[in-house]
Amino acid sequence: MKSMTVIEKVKSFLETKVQALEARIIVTREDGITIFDSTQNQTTTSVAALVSGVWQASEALMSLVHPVENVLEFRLGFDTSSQGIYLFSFNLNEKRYFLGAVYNDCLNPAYLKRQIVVMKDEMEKYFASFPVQQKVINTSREGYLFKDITDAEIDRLFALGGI
Amino acid sequence: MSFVNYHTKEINCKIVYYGPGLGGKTTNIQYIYQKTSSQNKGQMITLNTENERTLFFDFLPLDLGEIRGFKTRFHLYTVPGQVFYEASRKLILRGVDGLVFVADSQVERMEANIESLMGLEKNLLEQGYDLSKVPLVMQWNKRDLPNIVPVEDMNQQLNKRKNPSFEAVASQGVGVFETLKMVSKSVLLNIKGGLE
Repeated sequence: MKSMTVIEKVKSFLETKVQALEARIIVTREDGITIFDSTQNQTTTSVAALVSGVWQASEALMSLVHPVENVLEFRLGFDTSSQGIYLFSFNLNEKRYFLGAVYNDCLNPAYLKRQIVVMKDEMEKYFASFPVQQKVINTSREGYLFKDITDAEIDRLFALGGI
Repeated sequence: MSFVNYHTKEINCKIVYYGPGLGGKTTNIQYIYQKTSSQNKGQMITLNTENERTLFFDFLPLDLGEIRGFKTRFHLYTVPGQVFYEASRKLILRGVDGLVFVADSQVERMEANIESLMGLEKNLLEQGYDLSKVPLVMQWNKRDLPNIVPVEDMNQQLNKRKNPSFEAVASQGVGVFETLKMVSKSVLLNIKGGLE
């Protein structure tokens, strides 16, 4: 089986599934970096950072009041009868990720949440079907990515950014 | 921890602005947001209290150009400066790649600066980071105010490791981009390329 990155695995699994859901689906790393967003636009990075932040703040709040035994069993909800946010965490290759659904004008949020739970379970099974990959050190990339960077290169980088 | 995608040739890095309350962390980020062209910035997120103090964090995603073929994206965060938001500060430091310590240059805020810097070192240690190994840039902010500590004294009291430092008046944009460019350079130079 061809070796796939985490982003490719998540994308290959979710791309077809999310079309059937009345929600924006986001997967993010623990540090808020986007892995997948079903609605890629200018808000993607900010939405992913908030998904990660809101989960970790809730987890910290819970731990302050009661010890948390298994955080993977938790889910996080913020909703009315038609719109809301629903979040899970899951592990992949010993790293934690967050799966978030943000929905609006939803006729049956309970059904949507059930669909998302099922999707998350299926995604975990899908990931388990890949052989566990050992971290491979690619000797051609040993050390640092950049040996040196000049001030002129940094100025150019920011200039390209419109700064 | 920075994220380098070798397939799409993208680099994502997290930079955190840390420092005492009312030191100018949010002002730095707001100035960057104002001066960046709209296609290069994402939505700025600000989680404030009623009186505009940072409650949880400010967040600004910045898409810059390419460096040696790698597209770069910096995620800028600020922490809440007020003493009682320690738990939030710890969370925001997770996965940090580079730090800007925004110190308030006013004489009466020196104690708060020292306390905040000690808190930063402690919070990093708790998460397995050694402050001496994380790229750090010091910013001496509010240099336009009358009652300020001389730069030499700021360095002596807050910059024993002799990290790069810049004088700033963040409200006018003075020193803001110089600081950001320096921390960006340090972060990019610190990215390990050995593992995928």
